Amino acid sequence: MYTLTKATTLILLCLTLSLLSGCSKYAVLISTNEVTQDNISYHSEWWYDLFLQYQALRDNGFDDEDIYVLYGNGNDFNTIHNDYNANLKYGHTITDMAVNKANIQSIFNTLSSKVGGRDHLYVWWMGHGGGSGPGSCNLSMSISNTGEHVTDTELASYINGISNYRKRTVDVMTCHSGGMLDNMDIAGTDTITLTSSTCPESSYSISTTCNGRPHAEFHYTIPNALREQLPCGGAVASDTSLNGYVSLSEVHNYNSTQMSTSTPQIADPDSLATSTELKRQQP
Amino acid sequence: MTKQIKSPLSYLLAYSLLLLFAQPAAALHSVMLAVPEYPEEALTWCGPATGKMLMEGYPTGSCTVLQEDIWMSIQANKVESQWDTDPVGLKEALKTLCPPASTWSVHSRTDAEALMHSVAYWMTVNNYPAAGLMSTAPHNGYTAHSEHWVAIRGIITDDNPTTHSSTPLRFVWFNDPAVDLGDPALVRFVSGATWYSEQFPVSKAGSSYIGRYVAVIEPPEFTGRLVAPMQMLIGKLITPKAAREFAKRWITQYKLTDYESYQSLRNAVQLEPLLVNAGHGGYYIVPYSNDKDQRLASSAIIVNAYSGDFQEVGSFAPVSYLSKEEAIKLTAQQLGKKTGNISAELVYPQGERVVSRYFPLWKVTADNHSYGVSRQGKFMNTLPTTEFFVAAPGKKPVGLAFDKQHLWSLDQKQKTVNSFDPKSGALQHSHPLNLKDPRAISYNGTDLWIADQDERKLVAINPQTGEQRASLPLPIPKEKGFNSIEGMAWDGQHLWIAYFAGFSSTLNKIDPANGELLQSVFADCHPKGLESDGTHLWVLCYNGESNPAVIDQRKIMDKDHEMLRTRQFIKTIEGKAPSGLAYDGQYLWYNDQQKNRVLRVFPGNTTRK
Repeated sequence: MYTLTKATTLILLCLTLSLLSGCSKYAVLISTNEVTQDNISYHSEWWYDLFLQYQALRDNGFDDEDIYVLYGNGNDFNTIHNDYNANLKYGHTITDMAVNKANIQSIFNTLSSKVGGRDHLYVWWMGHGGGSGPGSCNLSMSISNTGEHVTDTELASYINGISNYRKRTVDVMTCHSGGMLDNMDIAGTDTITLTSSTCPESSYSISTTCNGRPHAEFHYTIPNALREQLPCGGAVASDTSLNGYVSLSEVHNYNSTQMSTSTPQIADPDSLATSTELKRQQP
Repeated sequence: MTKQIKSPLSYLLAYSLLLLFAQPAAALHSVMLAVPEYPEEALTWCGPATGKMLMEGYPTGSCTVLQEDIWMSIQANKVESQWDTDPVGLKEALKTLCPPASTWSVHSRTDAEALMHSVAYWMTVNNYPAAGLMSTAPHNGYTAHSEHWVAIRGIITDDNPTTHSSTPLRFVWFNDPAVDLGDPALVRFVSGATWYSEQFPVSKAGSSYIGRYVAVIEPPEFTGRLVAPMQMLIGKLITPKAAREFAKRWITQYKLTDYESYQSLRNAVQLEPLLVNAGHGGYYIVPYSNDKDQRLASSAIIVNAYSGDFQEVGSFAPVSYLSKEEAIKLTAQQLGKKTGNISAELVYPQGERVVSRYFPLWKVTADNHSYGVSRQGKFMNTLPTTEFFVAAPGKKPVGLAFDKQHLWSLDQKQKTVNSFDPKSGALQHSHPLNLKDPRAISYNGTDLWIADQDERKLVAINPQTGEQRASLPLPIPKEKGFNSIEGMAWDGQHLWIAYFAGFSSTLNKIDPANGELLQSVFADCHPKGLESDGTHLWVLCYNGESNPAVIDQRKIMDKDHEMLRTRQFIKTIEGKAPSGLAYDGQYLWYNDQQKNRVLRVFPGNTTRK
């Protein structure tokens, strides 16, 4: 009896230690505009895409408290579509703070002390982008509602401010978003970067979605691939290895086969995309 | 004061109205004729029905002729085959089947007020009713039939039109034969402003009357104009209770029950008022019932929805109006949906006038799609076009501009620029363009600016001659990209050009002196047209096939994000393939490439309470 109690205690202790030292999955979702009307192409996407991505991360095991959402003036958009309404879907709003340059810097500062060496960090950006310089690869991203801009160098610097992590995923949907690749394509940083287009390309919205709502094509296909289903419920065959998990390389392959308006890009300097499956406890 | 009245009842009505306006400074003139009302006996027979009413309304030597015989005579005499009843066919039928004391002739004028002066003049001189063409838009639920004739039997003006070349038109009294088959004709007594709001010039392609208002009357020896006071088209809506009170007031004030057609109002009970076209040009129908169950209406007073002003009174066969709840329920049944997310409002279509003003349609909206439900409960999968439109000149209209008088349409396919009358679509000028791919147009007060996509240049041309006056390279914002030119506007000082480039679509301010790019703001939409009133920019935003296009408005400001904050979505439009945008000082116009039309929408918002 004594032995059994000791063993049980030992198991519990091990489990606790394991939990304490286990990994977390953090995400920063930055949607750089404010939606005022449903069903408007190149406008409503700032909420619709954000919501789909939040939903995909939650479905892949990210906790709400580990997903930091910067959007508009700091309040969820009151959409007419119940299935895109966080309050109705999750019982709470999802926007943590208004989107502006100071808040973006602040959130990365906050996370620099939270994210640990076994954790995964997912950074998602949605907005306008301008390309200048050689090959239009110098990306400048707009924060539409404040008139501020964040360059590719600045965003990389914010992200790099979080020095402890296991792997990072950077997901950028802007025109000329290929300009982000060279900033993140550095061996040894364990970073996979996905962008919606090449440096000279624009990015586009589509309304040929399952529910007829406009979405940036890239930010429609990514959450669909991660969730293995469309917003309306139809199955998505993104897990081509059939191992029950969708890797980031499978996400990229799905993007490449599904997208027609721009050319999705991936940078994977440490060859991690094939083995990075967000749904796993430790992607 | 002149009075020319045929029947005692007519006399009473006219007398009442004259008393109403018998102010020391304002003498009134009226002609009120006894003309029996007849409905059309076939869906295309408003012409024969009008002819029959006219022939029975002669002051002497009246005739009773079958509509069928009038129809045959019209067909034998008409000279424009695109009409069911053309003006000449009707005129000849009248002359042949029931010769008048003098003669009948066709009057057509580009000015409605001048035409109505002719009508008033002739009616005063000879006491004959006149045939008036209300419009050549489809009506009566039969879209293949697109002309609407009525018998004008009464007219009230401030002054005698035989001695005054310009005088206010107060009221028009007419028999409208375009009703549901089997129902009696509507006898309508309308204000001058209401008459003009319902009367449109000919818009039939290929007709010699295009752009002209038409009536069949006798030649006047005097020309002049009958003007009508403007009516409120927007504003704060009066309440249904106020509409009821206004209706009562007009019955008493105008002594409408003295008139035979509206005597039933004396013992009638008011039913719940119906608000129609609430956003713009709104009116209340205040129905009256003589039914013991107070369910069927047999007459109605129509009042302006913002001022309560009298618009018209009409009597008709007893009908029941479909309630909003019934329209929603019927639509839900048709669509297999719950009624919760379905909304409905009454509309009187300005484009496809398939119903009468008295019997508007329920526009029922579910899942971002609009359906129609008629008073009789007929479900329409596609709502008739509610926006007023004219046929677009050319093959592929891509741009639109307004030169203070006419609209200019840019035809990408034929590489021409064409001006046309916005009321009828009548072509005014057409200039060939020495451009490879013209895409957008704007008018700066003197010149037409046109943007060419292939050569990426801007040219200014003389609207009178088509002569090119200036040429500039088209500036492109390098960092944002460019796929296509989608619109151009003039803000009083600068040109604005819309480019499509996905999320990098932009609105670009350009110095017309040198083509320098002064400002480039993200469009935040898929632009398909651009216009300005000097203070605002309006963008026609395309939303794919699933969602209707919208027009947004933003204030022109130096800082992009401040400009973005002023953005409002002001209008959802009906065109499926919209392009181009022009402002005429009151309305916005756009092309619909799918149906090759130019449609009109009111840009303002209405304060609802």
